[in-house]
Amino acid sequence: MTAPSITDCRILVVDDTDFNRTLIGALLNEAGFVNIAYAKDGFDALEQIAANAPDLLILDIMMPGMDGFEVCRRLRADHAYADLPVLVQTALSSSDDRNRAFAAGTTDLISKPLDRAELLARVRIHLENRVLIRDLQIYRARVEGELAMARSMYDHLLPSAALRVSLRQSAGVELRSHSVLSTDMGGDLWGVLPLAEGRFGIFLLDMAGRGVSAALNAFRMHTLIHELAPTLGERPDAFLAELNDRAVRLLELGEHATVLYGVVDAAAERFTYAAAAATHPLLVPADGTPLQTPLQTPLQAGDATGLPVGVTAGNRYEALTLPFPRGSALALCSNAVLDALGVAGPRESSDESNSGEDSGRALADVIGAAMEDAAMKDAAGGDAFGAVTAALAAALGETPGDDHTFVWIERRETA
Amino acid sequence: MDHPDAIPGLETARVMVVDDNRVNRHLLQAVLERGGIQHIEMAEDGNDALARMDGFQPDLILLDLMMPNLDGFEMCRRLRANPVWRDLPVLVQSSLNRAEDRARAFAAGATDYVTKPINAVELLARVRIHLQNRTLLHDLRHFRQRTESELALARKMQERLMPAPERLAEAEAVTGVAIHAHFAPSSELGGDFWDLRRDGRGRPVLIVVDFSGHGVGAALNTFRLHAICQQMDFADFSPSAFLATVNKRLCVLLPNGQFATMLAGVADLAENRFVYASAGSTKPMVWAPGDAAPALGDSAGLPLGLLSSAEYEERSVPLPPGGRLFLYSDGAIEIPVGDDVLDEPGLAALIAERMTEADSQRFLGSLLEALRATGPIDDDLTALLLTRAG
Repeated sequence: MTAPSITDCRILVVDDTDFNRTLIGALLNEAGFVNIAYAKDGFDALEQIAANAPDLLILDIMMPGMDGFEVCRRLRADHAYADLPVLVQTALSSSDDRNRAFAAGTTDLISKPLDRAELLARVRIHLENRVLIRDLQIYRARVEGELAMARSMYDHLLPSAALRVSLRQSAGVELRSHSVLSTDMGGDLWGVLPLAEGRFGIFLLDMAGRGVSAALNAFRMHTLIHELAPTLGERPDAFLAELNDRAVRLLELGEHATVLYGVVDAAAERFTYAAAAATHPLLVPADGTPLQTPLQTPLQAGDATGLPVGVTAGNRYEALTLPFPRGSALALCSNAVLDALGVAGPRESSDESNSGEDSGRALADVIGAAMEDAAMKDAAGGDAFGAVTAALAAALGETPGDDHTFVWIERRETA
Repeated sequence: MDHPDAIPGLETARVMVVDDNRVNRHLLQAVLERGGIQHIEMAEDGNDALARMDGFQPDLILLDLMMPNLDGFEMCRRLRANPVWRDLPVLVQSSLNRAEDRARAFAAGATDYVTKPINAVELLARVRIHLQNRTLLHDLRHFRQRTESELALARKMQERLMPAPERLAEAEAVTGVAIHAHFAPSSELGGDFWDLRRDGRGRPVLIVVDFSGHGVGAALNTFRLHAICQQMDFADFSPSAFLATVNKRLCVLLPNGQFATMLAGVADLAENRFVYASAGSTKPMVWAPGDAAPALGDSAGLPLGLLSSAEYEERSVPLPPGGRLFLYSDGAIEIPVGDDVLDEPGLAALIAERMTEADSQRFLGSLLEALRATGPIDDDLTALLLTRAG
């Protein structure tokens, strides 16, 4: 960070005595300050501040018309001047008066008669601080603006309300989702690819890393997914294999993604999917309990865990099928959701054959407990989606360390 | 700890009281506690205070001046010598009240000064001002550190979208066409992108893209476009067909209001020309040895992302042996000059002044210097110079 240059800062000297204004101006000038304005009373000061806001105010207290206390109070009442340093010069030495000045919002007091060294020391400290904060605030405003713009583009990638309505009508399926990003941007993404005859594809992507760089890669993957949709959208295994081959050419070492891609076929009452190191989908039957995990039937432990996308070319993925009858729901979540709920299995362990099973059971346990709890409270139907998002919010607190996505696909009882 | 004078938000603040007088220390502690400050550390002199700094990690120090062993002046100086504590608020509280004492304290690095006997209300007011200020600074700095490292990482990723020097050198060795490039986003990230490919006949293919907007959002779009280009087959490269296809794919992805200009072309050395199509790009400039000024190619065309059925016209400019082609983003011509902008004729004039410079790197360097001297460049700037061996 460059050393703040304070001599260009605008200083407004407010004093009803000509001599004092001249003296303060001369002291500041001599010290190199070149941008100095003068006001002769409180009204004059407020007018000048409104016309051209200073970086520092040197304010006399005892003035006719409107005194320094009142100037200070009025400035602090205006949000625009909340941070303006106000240096009050006063001959008042009683504690009560000093306290009054601070209560009115003064930043600092200097006593009259003015001491040159002290005046300049105070002016410098407040201006350096002001410039430092202003530079940081300008940086923050710019970057926040950029990130907000980028975030709106990210939100634009997620399924729109109109798309959800059309899925409700064409497939009789209700989609709900919950996303938590660790920073302004993230590497989690999910979406829907409409297919023929009421079918639709659904993907859940978790890019390694976090923040802007993870988001840049998520946007790349999103582009690839849309390129593949027309040709491979109906075949989850081939879809992931091709996505992987293309991602390998695009991503660098250390950049990879876990991906789940599946096709919802409401007419055939099934969900066919393939997973690349992603958490298994979980089927929640209509009656809520007992939960049927995909790992009990029809799958065997270790199936479909797969390798992440983007590391080595030529991976093969297996297509797996779950029944998806009316009234049931499918729960899809990024691996971090399980981690956050504190129930994750050894996902990163080398024991590949075990991790899928543990992850699947873990999510089942969470939803099972949530629904049991709801049933005990006699909550109508039990809101498993709400229970999971609430548990997630409680587990993550205000500063989540990772991106989290939870998607709930529910087939309605009646079409 | 619900005191009437409690300062909201300061429950977590850590304050160190440095005073050799036990009564004073307890008095100050009582005042601070009344203000709602819960984490207070006591030190008996300067040495004691310095020894406790790392362990306690104070947010503010209340410092007495006259103390045995190490006095407040010297302690403050030593503290400021450590960059970690350069910005720590040090509020001197002293019975010394001569102007010289105050000046000495400020010279030693004190932030503020109050005189004994302590006025509790004033002391708390000043403590609050300094702590709030420190919190604000801390938050702003934290934001900056976090985003700076995040954006630096992303910046490196964006730079890697462009061809590596080895790829350019390899292409030059095979085709006799050299590319020199300058890529400068206006902030950490930008919406410019360029690439060099070879078609099925080995001819060099150049694409130059400029997305609307700048910063992170525009950069996201360059990554999408790069992914699309990676999927494209360059074997039978045709500039107009290429633009039409890229446009169709981008139209699906881009939100309303976002678009890109693009120029895609191939150096057809057998025919001594550069064949290209433009989606609203800047005008390509070409010149041959002996020319007095660059010639400008036509670049009219609908930007990408606006209309998925858009079609693009194929055009060409001459590219004889020894000839040069200059491509650039609009950052190079939208530099303000008086009430106007530099524009293409202005840029062409700057190029004409230095087109005898044979060294491409020096040519680009000198041109960029001239552009910066023209006025502030507040857009992403990409400049590409293609030189055909003579």
